[in-house]
Amino acid sequence: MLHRFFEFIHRYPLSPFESFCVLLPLVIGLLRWEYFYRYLKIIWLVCLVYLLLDIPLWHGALLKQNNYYWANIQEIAVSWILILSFLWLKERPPVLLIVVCMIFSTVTAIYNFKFDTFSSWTKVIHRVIYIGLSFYFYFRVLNDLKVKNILHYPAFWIVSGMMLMACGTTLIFIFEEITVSYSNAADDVFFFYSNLIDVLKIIFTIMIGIGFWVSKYRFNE
Amino acid sequence: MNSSDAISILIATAVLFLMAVALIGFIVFYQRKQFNLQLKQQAELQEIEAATQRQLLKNSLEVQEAERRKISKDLHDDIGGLLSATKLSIQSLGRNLKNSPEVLAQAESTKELVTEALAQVRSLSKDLTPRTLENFGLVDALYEFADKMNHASETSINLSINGLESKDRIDSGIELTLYRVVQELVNNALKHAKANHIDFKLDKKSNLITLEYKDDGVGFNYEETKNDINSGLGLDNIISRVNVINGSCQFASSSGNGTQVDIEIPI
Repeated sequence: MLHRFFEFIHRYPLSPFESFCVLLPLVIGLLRWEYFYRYLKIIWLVCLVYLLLDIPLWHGALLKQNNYYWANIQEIAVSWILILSFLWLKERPPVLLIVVCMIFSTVTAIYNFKFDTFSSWTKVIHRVIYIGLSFYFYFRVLNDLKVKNILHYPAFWIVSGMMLMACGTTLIFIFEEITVSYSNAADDVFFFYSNLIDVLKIIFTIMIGIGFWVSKYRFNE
Repeated sequence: MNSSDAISILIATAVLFLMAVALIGFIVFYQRKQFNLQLKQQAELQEIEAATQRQLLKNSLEVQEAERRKISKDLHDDIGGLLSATKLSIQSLGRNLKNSPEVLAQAESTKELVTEALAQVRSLSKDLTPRTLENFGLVDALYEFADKMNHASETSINLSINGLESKDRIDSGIELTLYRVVQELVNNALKHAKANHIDFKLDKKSNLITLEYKDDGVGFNYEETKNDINSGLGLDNIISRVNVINGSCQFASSSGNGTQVDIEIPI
């Protein structure tokens, strides 16, 4: 098993880093827990879900078994929590919009669920939803002007991380057949885009970590 | 990478990602700009409110001083005049009553009462409007006030003035403020602090007047006293008067350690 682990790291050097990177916001979250309001606790839960659902992914990968369905389950679970988390933001979108997003996400997830490859269109729809909700968040932040120092506002860092991850990966999943399809994409293209997705997820988790870190500052003073 | 499609996707992804980065940068820049603008507007609004407050306070103090002047004049001219006339009348009555020693003694006693009443009316009139201040300036008025308090109480008041000579004049508003502040501080020291020694040091520089006050009284807790509706009025008066002429005022006191007050007034 250890031999396979090293072989895997050699083949996908960013993958373990991407998986363990989620420990950073989890640890910072524990250190800053006393300053957390409900939204941050939910985002911390997202990180925990990432970590826990990575375990069966790693298990499958090391045993050279199909683990795509676990990746798709992880995507659905994380997306549901991320979309719902907007309900606990101070710049909350209308509940109806969240409900519509959730219905859309669920229907797409069920309809597009695949066992042996990425459910790409589910991922694309989720990313479009993230981008839309992020735009709404930015609009409210600028419109309300309740936040006095935006760099001390945890939600800004988290939503921005989500926005960057979504913008960076949407096209990759739209053109999944060319980029990250294990069976159709060229080897070098597959590895390049897999690593790019890992880098974008690392950026997302680092920005969540920054958001957790600044939670002790008072952003509205 | 060998596929041109893959490269196109990479370029499009990079463009989309950079647009997201630019959007986030813009949000930070715009939010900070808007917020700084809001802060600036709030500061301007506060400045306007403070200036209005100062003007209102100034008007109120001016009305108070005008009223004092009127009462002082009425006391001095009308009641003082009446009492002087009464005294003369009693004197004249006394001359006509030489044959009646008992009535004469009563007239003498009445004359003494009227004389005392006259003295008190004059003193009250003088307290209400410091004539020495109006006629001869701050230095003479302060020395006169210190002399009077030295004679009237057991507390010794030491006054030292630098940069100002007798009959030197400065802005009348500043003169009156400093005089009233000194009066208030001495009153507080005598009434509440039970001080044995009071030191005043007035210093005039080219663009600043400083007044240093020190006593060896029982001292007080500044925050508690300031927030106390009953005992805080004296402090509020001092602070308000100094603020009206754009001065600053600092109190240093604690229970058992006397009091020190530093006042700075730009001229």
